[in-house]
Amino acid sequence: MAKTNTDRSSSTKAPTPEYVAARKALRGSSHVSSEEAKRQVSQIGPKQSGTVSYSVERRGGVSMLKRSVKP
Amino acid sequence: LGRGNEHDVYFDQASQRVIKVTQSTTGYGAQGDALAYLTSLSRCNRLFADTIRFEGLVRVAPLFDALAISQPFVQGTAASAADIEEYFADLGFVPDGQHAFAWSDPAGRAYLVADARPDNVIREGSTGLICPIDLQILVRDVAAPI
Repeated sequence: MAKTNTDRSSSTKAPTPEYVAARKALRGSSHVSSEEAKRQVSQIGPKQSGTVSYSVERRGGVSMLKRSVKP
Repeated sequence: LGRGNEHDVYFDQASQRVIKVTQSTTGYGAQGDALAYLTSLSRCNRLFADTIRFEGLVRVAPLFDALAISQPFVQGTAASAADIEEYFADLGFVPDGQHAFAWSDPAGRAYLVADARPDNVIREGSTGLICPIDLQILVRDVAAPI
Protein backbone atom coordinates (compact mmCIF):
# COMPACT_ATOMS: atom_id res chain seq x y z
CA MET A 1 0.00 0.00 0.00
CA ALA A 2 1.35 3.40 -0.91
CA LYS A 3 2.60 5.60 1.88
CA THR A 4 1.28 9.09 2.07
CA ASN A 5 2.65 12.33 3.34
CA THR A 6 0.50 12.00 6.44
CA ASP A 7 1.93 8.60 7.36
CA ARG A 8 4.63 10.02 9.58
CA SER A 9 5.10 6.85 11.58
CA SER A 10 6.72 5.03 8.70
CA SER A 11 7.85 7.66 6.22
CA THR A 12 10.67 10.12 6.11
CA LYS A 13 10.35 13.63 7.44
CA ALA A 14 10.29 16.85 5.51
CA PRO A 15 13.16 19.21 6.26
CA THR A 16 12.37 21.37 9.26
CA PRO A 17 11.21 24.95 8.62
CA GLU A 18 14.44 26.07 10.27
CA TYR A 19 16.53 24.07 7.81
CA VAL A 20 14.53 25.31 4.82
CA ALA A 21 14.91 28.90 6.01
CA ALA A 22 18.63 28.46 6.63
CA ARG A 23 19.19 26.96 3.20
CA LYS A 24 17.13 29.70 1.60
CA ALA A 25 19.14 32.30 3.50
CA LEU A 26 22.36 30.98 1.96
CA ARG A 27 21.23 32.31 -1.38
CA GLY A 28 22.44 35.84 -1.72
CA SER A 29 24.30 35.78 1.59
CA SER A 30 27.67 35.88 -0.14
CA HIS A 31 29.16 36.59 -3.52
CA VAL A 32 31.93 34.45 -4.86
CA SER A 33 33.93 35.03 -8.01
CA SER A 34 34.15 32.46 -10.77
CA GLU A 35 37.77 31.82 -9.76
CA GLU A 36 36.83 31.20 -6.14
CA ALA A 37 33.95 28.93 -7.13
CA LYS A 38 36.31 26.92 -9.31
CA ARG A 39 38.88 26.70 -6.52
CA GLN A 40 36.32 25.39 -4.05
CA VAL A 41 34.94 22.86 -6.49
CA SER A 42 38.45 21.64 -7.31
CA GLN A 43 39.09 21.04 -3.62
CA ILE A 44 36.00 18.89 -3.32
CA GLY A 45 36.59 16.96 -6.54
CA PRO A 46 37.64 15.14 -8.56
CA LYS A 47 34.34 13.40 -8.15
CA GLN A 48 35.34 10.15 -9.74
CA SER A 49 38.26 8.76 -11.63
CA GLY A 50 37.50 6.62 -14.59
CA THR A 51 34.37 6.24 -16.65
CA VAL A 52 31.15 5.96 -14.71
CA SER A 53 28.10 4.32 -16.12
CA TYR A 54 24.69 3.75 -14.64
CA SER A 55 21.87 1.45 -15.41
CA VAL A 56 18.42 1.26 -13.91
CA GLU A 57 16.55 -1.96 -13.49
CA ARG A 58 12.85 -1.90 -12.81
CA ARG A 59 11.24 -4.96 -11.31
CA GLY A 60 7.63 -4.88 -10.23
CA GLY A 61 7.62 -1.13 -9.78
CA VAL A 62 10.94 -1.15 -7.96
CA SER A 63 13.82 0.81 -9.47
CA MET A 64 17.38 -0.06 -8.64
CA LEU A 65 20.36 2.00 -9.68
CA LYS A 66 23.49 0.14 -10.68
CA ARG A 67 26.67 2.13 -10.86
CA SER A 68 29.88 0.87 -12.39
CA VAL A 69 33.25 2.50 -12.82
CA LYS A 70 35.82 1.53 -15.40
CA PRO A 71 39.33 2.83 -14.59
CA LEU B 1 33.67 24.56 -13.30
CA GLY B 2 34.35 21.20 -14.86
CA ARG B 3 32.84 18.01 -16.03
CA GLY B 4 31.09 15.58 -13.71
CA ASN B 5 29.63 12.19 -14.35
CA GLU B 6 26.36 13.47 -15.75
CA HIS B 7 26.88 17.12 -16.60
CA ASP B 8 29.12 19.80 -17.94
CA VAL B 9 29.12 22.31 -15.11
CA TYR B 10 29.42 26.10 -15.31
CA PHE B 11 29.17 28.93 -12.82
CA ASP B 12 27.09 32.04 -13.39
CA GLN B 13 28.69 34.67 -11.22
CA ALA B 14 25.82 37.14 -11.63
CA SER B 15 23.17 34.78 -10.27
CA GLN B 16 25.58 32.79 -8.06
CA ARG B 17 24.07 29.67 -9.56
CA VAL B 18 25.70 26.59 -11.01
CA ILE B 19 24.55 25.73 -14.51
CA LYS B 20 24.53 22.07 -15.42
CA VAL B 21 24.06 20.72 -18.93
CA THR B 22 23.52 17.02 -19.41
CA GLN B 23 26.43 15.42 -21.25
CA SER B 24 24.98 12.55 -23.15
CA THR B 25 23.61 12.85 -26.65
CA THR B 26 21.41 9.82 -26.16
CA GLY B 27 19.82 10.32 -22.74
CA TYR B 28 19.51 12.48 -19.64
CA GLY B 29 21.54 11.93 -16.52
CA ALA B 30 22.10 8.74 -14.64
CA GLN B 31 18.54 7.52 -14.97
CA GLY B 32 18.36 7.91 -18.72
CA ASP B 33 15.08 9.47 -19.67
CA ALA B 34 14.11 13.09 -19.35
CA LEU B 35 11.10 12.55 -17.12
CA ALA B 36 13.05 10.45 -14.61
CA TYR B 37 15.83 13.04 -14.63
CA LEU B 38 13.54 15.99 -13.97
CA THR B 39 11.45 14.06 -11.45
CA SER B 40 14.59 13.21 -9.47
CA LEU B 41 15.52 16.91 -9.38
CA SER B 42 12.02 17.86 -8.27
CA ARG B 43 12.31 15.39 -5.42
CA CYS B 44 15.67 16.91 -4.45
CA ASN B 45 13.88 20.23 -4.08
CA ARG B 46 11.06 18.79 -2.03
CA LEU B 47 12.97 16.35 0.17
CA PHE B 48 16.15 18.38 0.74
CA ALA B 49 15.04 22.01 0.27
CA ASP B 50 17.21 22.61 -2.78
CA THR B 51 16.03 25.09 -5.43
CA ILE B 52 17.03 23.44 -8.67
CA ARG B 53 15.50 25.06 -11.75
CA PHE B 54 14.94 23.83 -15.25
CA GLU B 55 16.51 26.45 -17.51
CA GLY B 56 16.01 25.10 -21.00
CA LEU B 57 17.31 22.98 -23.82
CA VAL B 58 20.69 23.06 -25.54
CA ARG B 59 21.06 21.62 -29.03
CA VAL B 60 24.05 19.29 -28.78
CA ALA B 61 23.45 17.05 -31.76
CA PRO B 62 21.40 17.42 -34.93
CA LEU B 63 18.45 15.57 -33.44
CA PHE B 64 19.13 15.84 -29.74
CA ASP B 65 18.78 18.55 -27.12
CA ALA B 66 20.52 18.38 -23.76
CA LEU B 67 18.75 19.64 -20.64
CA ALA B 68 20.10 22.67 -18.80
CA ILE B 69 19.34 23.18 -15.13
CA SER B 70 20.66 25.48 -12.45
CA GLN B 71 21.01 25.39 -8.68
CA PRO B 72 22.45 27.78 -6.09
CA PHE B 73 26.20 27.56 -5.57
CA VAL B 74 26.95 26.41 -2.03
CA GLN B 75 30.29 27.47 -0.58
CA GLY B 76 32.02 25.02 1.67
CA THR B 77 33.78 21.70 1.87
CA ALA B 78 32.83 18.10 1.34
CA ALA B 79 30.73 16.80 4.23
CA SER B 80 32.14 13.97 6.29
CA ALA B 81 30.61 10.52 6.40
CA ALA B 82 29.40 11.32 9.92
CA ASP B 83 27.78 14.54 8.71
CA ILE B 84 25.93 12.65 5.99
CA GLU B 85 24.84 9.89 8.34
CA GLU B 86 23.48 12.37 10.86
CA TYR B 87 21.73 14.40 8.16
CA PHE B 88 19.84 11.44 6.71
CA ALA B 89 19.08 9.93 10.10
CA ASP B 90 17.51 13.22 11.19
CA LEU B 91 15.20 13.03 8.18
CA GLY B 92 14.20 9.49 9.04
CA PHE B 93 16.23 7.71 6.38
CA VAL B 94 18.08 4.48 7.06
CA PRO B 95 21.11 3.04 5.25
CA ASP B 96 19.95 1.10 2.22
CA GLY B 97 22.14 -1.85 3.08
CA GLN B 98 22.57 -2.98 -0.52
CA HIS B 99 24.24 0.06 -2.07
CA ALA B 100 27.05 2.25 -0.82
CA PHE B 101 26.11 5.89 -0.19
CA ALA B 102 22.40 5.05 -0.49
CA TRP B 103 19.56 5.71 1.92
CA SER B 104 15.98 4.48 2.07
CA ASP B 105 12.88 5.48 3.93
CA PRO B 106 12.53 2.99 6.77
CA ALA B 107 9.23 1.22 6.25
CA GLY B 108 7.48 2.32 3.10
CA ARG B 109 10.67 2.03 1.07
CA ALA B 110 9.23 4.53 -1.36
CA TYR B 111 12.53 6.20 -2.09
CA LEU B 112 16.09 5.15 -2.66
CA VAL B 113 18.43 8.12 -2.35
CA ALA B 114 21.67 7.23 -4.10
CA ASP B 115 25.04 8.85 -4.60
CA ALA B 116 25.13 10.50 -1.16
CA ARG B 117 28.92 10.60 -1.27
CA PRO B 118 30.94 13.30 0.51
CA ASP B 119 31.61 15.13 -2.75
CA ASN B 120 27.87 15.34 -3.40
CA VAL B 121 27.05 16.78 0.02
CA ILE B 122 28.50 20.14 1.06
CA ARG B 123 29.09 21.42 4.58
CA GLU B 124 28.42 25.11 4.03
CA GLY B 125 31.34 27.23 5.12
CA SER B 126 29.79 29.95 7.27
CA THR B 127 26.86 28.11 8.85
CA GLY B 128 27.90 24.44 8.84
CA LEU B 129 24.59 23.62 7.16
CA ILE B 130 24.65 20.24 5.42
CA CYS B 131 23.52 20.69 1.82
CA PRO B 132 23.07 17.78 -0.56
CA ILE B 133 23.72 19.06 -4.06
CA ASP B 134 23.83 16.15 -6.44
CA LEU B 135 21.79 13.13 -5.38
CA GLN B 136 19.89 10.53 -7.34
CA ILE B 137 16.41 9.82 -6.04
CA LEU B 138 14.80 6.65 -7.29
CA VAL B 139 11.26 5.69 -6.54
CA ARG B 140 10.46 2.21 -5.34
CA ASP B 141 6.75 2.73 -4.82
CA VAL B 142 5.10 3.94 -7.99
CA ALA B 143 2.54 5.86 -5.91
CA ALA B 144 5.20 7.90 -4.12
CA PRO B 145 4.60 11.64 -4.56
CA ILE B 146 6.77 13.51 -7.00
